[in-house]
Amino acid sequence: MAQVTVKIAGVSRGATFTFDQQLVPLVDGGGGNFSGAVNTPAGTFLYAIVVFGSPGDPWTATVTDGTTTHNFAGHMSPAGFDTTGDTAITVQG
Amino acid sequence: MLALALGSVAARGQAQANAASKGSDPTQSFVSPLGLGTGATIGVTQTGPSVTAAIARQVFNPAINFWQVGFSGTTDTNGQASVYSSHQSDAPGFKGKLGVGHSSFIRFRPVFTRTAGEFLTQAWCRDEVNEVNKTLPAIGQIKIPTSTDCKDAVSLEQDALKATPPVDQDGKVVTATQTADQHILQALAKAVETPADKVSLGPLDRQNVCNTVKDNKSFFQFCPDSTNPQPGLTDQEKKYPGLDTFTKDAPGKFQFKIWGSWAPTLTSTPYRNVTDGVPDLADKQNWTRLLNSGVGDVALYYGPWALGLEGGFGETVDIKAQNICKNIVSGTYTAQQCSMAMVGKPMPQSTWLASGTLQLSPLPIFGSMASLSSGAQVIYSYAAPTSGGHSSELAIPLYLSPAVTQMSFVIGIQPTWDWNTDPTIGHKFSVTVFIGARPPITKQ
Repeated sequence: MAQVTVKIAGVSRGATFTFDQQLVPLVDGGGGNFSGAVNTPAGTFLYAIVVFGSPGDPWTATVTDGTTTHNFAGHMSPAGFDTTGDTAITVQG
Repeated sequence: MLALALGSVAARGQAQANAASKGSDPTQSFVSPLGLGTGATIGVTQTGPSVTAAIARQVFNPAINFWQVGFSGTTDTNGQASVYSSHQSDAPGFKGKLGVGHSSFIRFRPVFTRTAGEFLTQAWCRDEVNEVNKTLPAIGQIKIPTSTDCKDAVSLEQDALKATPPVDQDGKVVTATQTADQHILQALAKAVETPADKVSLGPLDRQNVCNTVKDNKSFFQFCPDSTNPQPGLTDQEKKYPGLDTFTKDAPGKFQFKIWGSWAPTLTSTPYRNVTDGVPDLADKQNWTRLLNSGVGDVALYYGPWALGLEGGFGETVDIKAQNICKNIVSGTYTAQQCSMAMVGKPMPQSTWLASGTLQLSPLPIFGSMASLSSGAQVIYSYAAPTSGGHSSELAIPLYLSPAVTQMSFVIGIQPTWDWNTDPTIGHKFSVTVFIGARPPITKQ
């Protein structure tokens, strides 16, 4: 089993993290930071981050299993959301 | 926690160190119905130091999908006369707010993330094709419309590569670059082939192609495994107007949170008993009471606007402390030993509570700034004891904070007006300048 962690910053209203078709509970750590973790066996999985905030606000996110690290940097849409879309990650055992 | 009080700029001095929550309420005001905003705040107000802390966490239940706990403590240490209602945001005492609720932000959106992933894969493909185009001689580079999808873009670029391969300064074909270009274009062409059982180019195709270009930095930079920051949906839609015919079921502009809270306030004050209208000033008494309130909150979000409304019913108490002095006479000398106490036992009252907060972020006057986030709030709270009278408070905090930092930081100014129909409490006006920083208080 491996642990995949997610850290999201710059999000003023809310965020969700979906891993392998399951929502992962996030902790609102304050200052626009959200974090969460999920235990998973080795393999290739799809995940997605959806963030909500004020229009134009920049946000960042990092998803890692300790070996592979994915970084994201985006901006909120005029409607106040953004996403990484479904993204593939191969988790090492 | 790091906080710094700057000082006051008002007729009635008040300095407060506050912290930006990029969360629900940047000012972490206890009377704001936008929620406390997770984190911790330390401050100095005219009634004494205060600490506010809150945390929230998601849970997955159709009805309740988050909980929040917040505490605020303010001590009266300045030794001056204090007259206040326990409902005021800076009232001495310990306030708590324990609530559960439902947030429309927290929702499984499989269609949106899948289709956005399809668009982002198309945009990634276009990034790779553009990278190939950059290797061609200027005369051979082509301009592909932003709305052209991956399949057509790859085909156009393959033709361009055949017609004008990469060359060195002497006009000789650079076979290594040409081979790399051909490799990724062929890999992309294979990925966009659409057999009957395949809906569209997707993230797994992206990963497969990326795995074949790990040794080529120019192409690998657009792959998530490269650790280079990858753009989100909004930035790629801006980069490739007209390309996103894929994304469906995007979240609406209108979102909401609704929750209920138990809001206890622990209030304590020294007092002197009054019997048949005669105060017993020599007998020191202390009054401590947990005042209970129940409140319901609704927060509505629409683009840059947020509106929070709170209504509740519970107990409040007016504290009117004054100097009680013991006179000691020795010959022609007089000495006084004084302490603050209320004359008469405090009497809690059942009270209707209401408050509203309107927030605008970012502020249009600051335009679009990449590094700073600006905002303004109008917070109004109202308390009406069932025995008559009422008190209200209006605060208008304006703030600036860095847009993305691990340690949120805020600087702002907040004028506050208080009105109370009780003439002994009366009206007051203050302006607070606040500056502070607050790291996340939770780790996982």
